[in-house]
Amino acid sequence: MAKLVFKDIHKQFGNHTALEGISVEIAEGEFFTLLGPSGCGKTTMLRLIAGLETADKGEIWIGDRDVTYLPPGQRKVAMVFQNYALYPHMTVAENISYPLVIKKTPGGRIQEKVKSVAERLSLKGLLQRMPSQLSGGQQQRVAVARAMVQDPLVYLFDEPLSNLDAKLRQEARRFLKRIQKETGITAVYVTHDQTEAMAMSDRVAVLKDGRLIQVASPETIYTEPADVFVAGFVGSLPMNLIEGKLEKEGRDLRFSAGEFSVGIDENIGLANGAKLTLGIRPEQVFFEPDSDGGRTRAVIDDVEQLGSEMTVSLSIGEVILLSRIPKSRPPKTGERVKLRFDKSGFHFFDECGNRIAGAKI
Amino acid sequence: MMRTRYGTRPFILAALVLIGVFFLLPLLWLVSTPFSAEPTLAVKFSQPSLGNFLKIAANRTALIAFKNSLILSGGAMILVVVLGSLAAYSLSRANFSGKQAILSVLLLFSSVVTGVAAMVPIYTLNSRLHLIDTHIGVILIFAAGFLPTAIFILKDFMDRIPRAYEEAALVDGSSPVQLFRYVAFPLARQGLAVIAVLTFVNTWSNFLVPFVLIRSNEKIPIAVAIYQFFSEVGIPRIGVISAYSLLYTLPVLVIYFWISRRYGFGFFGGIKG
Repeated sequence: MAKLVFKDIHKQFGNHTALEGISVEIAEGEFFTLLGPSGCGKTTMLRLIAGLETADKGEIWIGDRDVTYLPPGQRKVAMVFQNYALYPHMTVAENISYPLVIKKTPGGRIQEKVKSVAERLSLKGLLQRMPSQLSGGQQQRVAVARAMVQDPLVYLFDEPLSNLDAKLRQEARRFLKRIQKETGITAVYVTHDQTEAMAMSDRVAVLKDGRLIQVASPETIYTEPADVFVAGFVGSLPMNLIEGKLEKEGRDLRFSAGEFSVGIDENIGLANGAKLTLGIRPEQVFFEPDSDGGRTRAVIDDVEQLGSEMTVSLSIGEVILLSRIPKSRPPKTGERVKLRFDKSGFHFFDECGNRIAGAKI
Repeated sequence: MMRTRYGTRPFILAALVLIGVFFLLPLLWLVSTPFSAEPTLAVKFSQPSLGNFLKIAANRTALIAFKNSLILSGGAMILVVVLGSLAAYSLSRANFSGKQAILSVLLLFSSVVTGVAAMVPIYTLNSRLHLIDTHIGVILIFAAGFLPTAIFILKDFMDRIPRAYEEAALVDGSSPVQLFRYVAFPLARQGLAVIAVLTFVNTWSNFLVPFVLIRSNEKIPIAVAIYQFFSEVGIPRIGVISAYSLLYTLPVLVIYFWISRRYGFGFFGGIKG
């Protein structure tokens, strides 16, 4: 159990800048997730903590030790790899005990620890099997056991759920979270799957092109995304992002983009004519039959049935909006409808894509 | 389609049988002739006798040759496996400038060192190093001759073993020696088994190198000792030679089956796990 600190870390691979000035502090016992698209530098960050890569500049601290240049084995971290990396020539028991055996732990103590960890992860009946005889979910538990048995200061998880099928993934998600909370050991978790990040983490760091875009709780990331990238990345459906500008109409402000136009009821502290991006989550876009010929009219492009919900794609001129609504009588493609928004969910981003703080209705 | 297939089938079958017989006959000769009292070049099972083997048992040089062959091939095998695996591992995992050049040169040299063309310089070299008429001299030449090929094959094999296993072992706290001993070496052992057997078989049958480099009768391997059984005017004594040849093949078979049972062979390092 220890906190983990990145101080202005830079890492370069040839001409490619993998990480650029990363500074972040991960609290003791925290479940911290690095989230981003592939190539954003999240795995590099994890490998730097493990010692499998060395930073070009900056420092990494675990607890009160500067580990920047320590070899991997001396950092007291344990890692669960994406493909689990169970040693194929060793039994499950040998795999779990390997870290203890090479550290010359007394035999009795090893037996005891392997037994208790195996019991805890329901691996008791599998100890004499070879890794190739295990299912994906079992392999994953063995990999976790091999990490747990070391009593590390930090757990490192490198997309450990990506090789599991959807049903197992749900189960493994809860299992990992429970294990982490029970042991109270700081965990750094890498994923490109925002659902995982939101479901498991205490805090999430969103990365893009080797930079930290936002570090916050899942709740904050969802309700107050720092920029259009985070807004588009987080959420089971990406947020609708519409580029347009503010126009004054009498006493009211309106946001318009081509044929799309919506009234901004209150003063949000932005000037007439300002260019900005409006973000609305699909869950906050509604529509109803066009009875009175209201101003913002749309045409239904496509309807996707998803069991209890449906996703409807709507077009207003050039602007395409997604709406996620509870299942009801499915609208017909080509039907004209009137749009309605939950305006409390409006997000505003400036010309560079950064969130306009306080611009919330 | 069906008619032509069935129409040509007897001919193909006949051709295959003919080819099979062609390869089988020498083998039959090899197992039948040694036990014959009146050996000829024909395959026949008549007048069984162990006389040929008794003559070999009486020939001291012929018996010591077995020990010598084991020392030479065994020594070369150990040297090639140990040095080859270390070199191949480094070439597979480390990145340094000139790596491609080294690999190309290796490939080039693999066909040169033990060839007939190199015999004169090899002899001179051994002579200067005072290694003429020593086992170690022959072992070094054997190993040098086979190492480039071995390194090449092993490097390819190791390239296919995912690095994640070694990374896991590093994070688990292995020292470089432990990493090689407990993870990299066992993962590569199928490839190493192939190399070990190849080295053994190749050097076991090598005649030229020990023939040129070894003088005394107490040190010659089987491939050279077989000359004992030609009469003074160079006429082969077929019965004894065939018996000796049969004995000559046995250690190779033993080594092959022992290594294959213990380690298994594999040309591909892709390990599912």
